[in-house]
Amino acid sequence: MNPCRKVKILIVDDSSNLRQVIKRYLQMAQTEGYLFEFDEACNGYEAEQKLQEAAVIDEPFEIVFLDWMMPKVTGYEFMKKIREIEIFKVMPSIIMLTAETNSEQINACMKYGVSKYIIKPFTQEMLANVLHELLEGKADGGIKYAI
Amino acid sequence: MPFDVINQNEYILVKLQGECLGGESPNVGELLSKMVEETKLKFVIFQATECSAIGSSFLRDMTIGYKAIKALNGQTRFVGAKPSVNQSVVQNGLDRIFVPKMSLKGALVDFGLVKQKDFDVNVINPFLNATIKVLKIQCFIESKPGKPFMKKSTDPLLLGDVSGIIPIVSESFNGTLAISLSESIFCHIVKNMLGEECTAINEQNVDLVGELANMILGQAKVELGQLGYGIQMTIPSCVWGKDHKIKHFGGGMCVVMPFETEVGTFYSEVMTNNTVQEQKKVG
Repeated sequence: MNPCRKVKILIVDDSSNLRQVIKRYLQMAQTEGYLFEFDEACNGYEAEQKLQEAAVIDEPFEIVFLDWMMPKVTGYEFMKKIREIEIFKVMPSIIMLTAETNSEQINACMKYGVSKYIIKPFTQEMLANVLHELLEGKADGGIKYAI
Repeated sequence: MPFDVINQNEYILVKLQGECLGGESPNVGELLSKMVEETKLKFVIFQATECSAIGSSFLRDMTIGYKAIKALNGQTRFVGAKPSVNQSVVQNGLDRIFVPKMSLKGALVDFGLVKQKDFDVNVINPFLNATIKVLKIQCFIESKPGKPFMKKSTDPLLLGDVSGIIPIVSESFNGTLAISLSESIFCHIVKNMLGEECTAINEQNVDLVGELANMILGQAKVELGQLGYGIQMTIPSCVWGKDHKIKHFGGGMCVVMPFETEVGTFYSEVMTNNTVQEQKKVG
């Protein structure tokens, strides 16, 4: 039996309940061959701290699900800052998961190498598809809307 | 021609399209001057939403038109431009005369052509549609809108047990969106979203209603943008308890939208009121 590949996922959202919803949907998306490990942050500041800690212990996050509007440090500010740091230039992959629908702001995000932009409200299927596209190296930086 | 100069009765609309590089004959400034002189209209909106690039030469042509507007003591607004186009205006030192605005509505408010305290009934549908969509996709609840009704601005009472409230900030109006749920509907939503039984609203689960308000505003923003309202995203808050009260910004018009679901009725309410100008007075 092949060993599972561990995938560390950081969920960043100021709503603790929404973090639970996202985690639940992602757990439902876990398939054979992968072992998802989750951590959470309630704003960009805490997320940055978690990324640095994980990098220091050599267990970096592979994927970040990132909200935009959060107090203290927004998702956009977080992303802009970490992409300027050498070790976070490419990894982790970032999936924006936000209610922000402004096309200018979506484009601004894309410049920082967002793997996918999901507009809330979201379905379990949307999260599962995006996650698997990413794990299989097929994410194209597009935008996902719930119909 | 990468532009159209259109008489809109109360103002002149100059629609820019594609690459505006200048050198046309007649150029934008000449056509604009002619219309300003003929109509004596002193407000001009350059609609730059469809403009992909603007050159120094074209901007110089625009200043010819500006001279005619200035002669009437008029004003211009430069609406909906992409950041790169706005940047060209700034680099040419013209952003104080071709003043950037996110939306057409915002420009009309600046000109005093849209009354400040009118409640635009067109804003109701985007909120109705957004509420139905968010409840369906995120909460697995089908909701049917009832007949909206007006509420006195002095009555702060919401109609449910828990409310998610989010400020609406735009160039043409400010206000508040609130979604107000009974405890039973809220618990039903918590169960659908988290997969856990819920018997009461509490500090641990209440933030979900704020997230719903956030999603509704985000969805409504798309349709409101098409109507010319440039809405900015803000951070929601929550209140709960029987007969809880919220304070909407200011004291404008408030429309309440009831929704029927299989688990009861809930309400979404939008209050629009003070415009940007009025807010500036407050500080």
